Amino acid sequence: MDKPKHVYEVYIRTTPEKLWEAITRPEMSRQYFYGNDVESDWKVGSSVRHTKEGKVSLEGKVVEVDPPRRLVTTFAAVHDPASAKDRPSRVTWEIVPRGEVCLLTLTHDDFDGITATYKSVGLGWNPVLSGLKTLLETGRPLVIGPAPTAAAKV
Amino acid sequence: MELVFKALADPSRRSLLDRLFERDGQTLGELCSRLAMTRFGVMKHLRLLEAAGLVATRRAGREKLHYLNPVPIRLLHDRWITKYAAPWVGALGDLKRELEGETMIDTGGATAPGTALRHIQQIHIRTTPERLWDAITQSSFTRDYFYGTLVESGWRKGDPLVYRNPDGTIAADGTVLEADPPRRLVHTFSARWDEAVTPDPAHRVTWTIEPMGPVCKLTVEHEGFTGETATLTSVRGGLSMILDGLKTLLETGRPMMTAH
Repeated sequence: MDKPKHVYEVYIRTTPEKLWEAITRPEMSRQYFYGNDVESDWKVGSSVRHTKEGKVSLEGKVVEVDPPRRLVTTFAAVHDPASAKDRPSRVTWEIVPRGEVCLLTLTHDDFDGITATYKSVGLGWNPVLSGLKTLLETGRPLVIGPAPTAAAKV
Repeated sequence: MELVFKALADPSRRSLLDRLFERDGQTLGELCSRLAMTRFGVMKHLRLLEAAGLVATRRAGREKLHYLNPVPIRLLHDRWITKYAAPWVGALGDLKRELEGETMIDTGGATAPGTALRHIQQIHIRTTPERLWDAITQSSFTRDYFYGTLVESGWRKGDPLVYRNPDGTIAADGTVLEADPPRRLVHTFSARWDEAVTPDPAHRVTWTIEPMGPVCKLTVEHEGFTGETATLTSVRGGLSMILDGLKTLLETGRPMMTAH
């Protein structure tokens, strides 16, 4: 059987350099990554942390870094008690320029089967990647509101 | 163009292009190290690729670096593939996947690996449900993000629908099964854009629009495939570009790419 993985492809009208900055800088990430600052010196072996209001949500290490083309990190969702028990998985960002757009391929793999992390990140990457595209193409963050059922209760 | 076809006809040369596609600007040594080919063989293939204009070289000190030039492939695509109605054949993308022997089992992230013969994708777009509905159902929008096709339908249950290429030929057609504007649209879908997909039976497409504040979540589901058909492969490879183009068009007012 194929090993479980999530693969997302996003076409963004931007340059590889701008896309790289948006992935690796906290002032950018907080505008599309569930409000999280990404913190790292982006050297192989260094730690990578996503923090929100001082609390760590994601933790990992830099495995490969080749700006502005390829970034590989490990991924541990420490904010979620169920996912925190899983061995760290792996996230690969690959940027390929294609004329006036860049193709960003995000691969999340190296799971030990269908883990809690695998299940929870499946739909979690969609708003992040949609927000990243909007930020780069319009200069403004994508503010995703609550679903109408939730809004009706307020 | 003759040289480009010749260059692409060989699997070793395609895999060299693929290596450069992954990382541009490699030396001969780097290209040899990852391939089961002799140095002489690689040199010979690189010369042919250079003659076809697919690879450009530049000296950096004592080293010669090789760069991919995708323009001839793009031209070939525009002349020979787009013309013959291949909305969902991403030439480079399919080439890449074929050569790596890698299947994308889960692009949308919503299905368990290897289980279902379907493809689901979600995207969040800053727009209203009404405008998103129009963008899905009106040809003045689809021509700017759906591989240049014009969509035609009355959009009532039982109505036929057709995606037409700019030259009038049919890229895909189907029948509306459910229409609940601006929230939900279900239709059958028969791919007609090339010989590989035409024999495949119709499958089902569901568009679901959910407003979330100033944003809409759009979920697109292609299901009911009878197997790993050519249509399913094309949908997996091409739906991202369509939905990303739709998002760019609605959020910026301009098509994502100037030409299809």
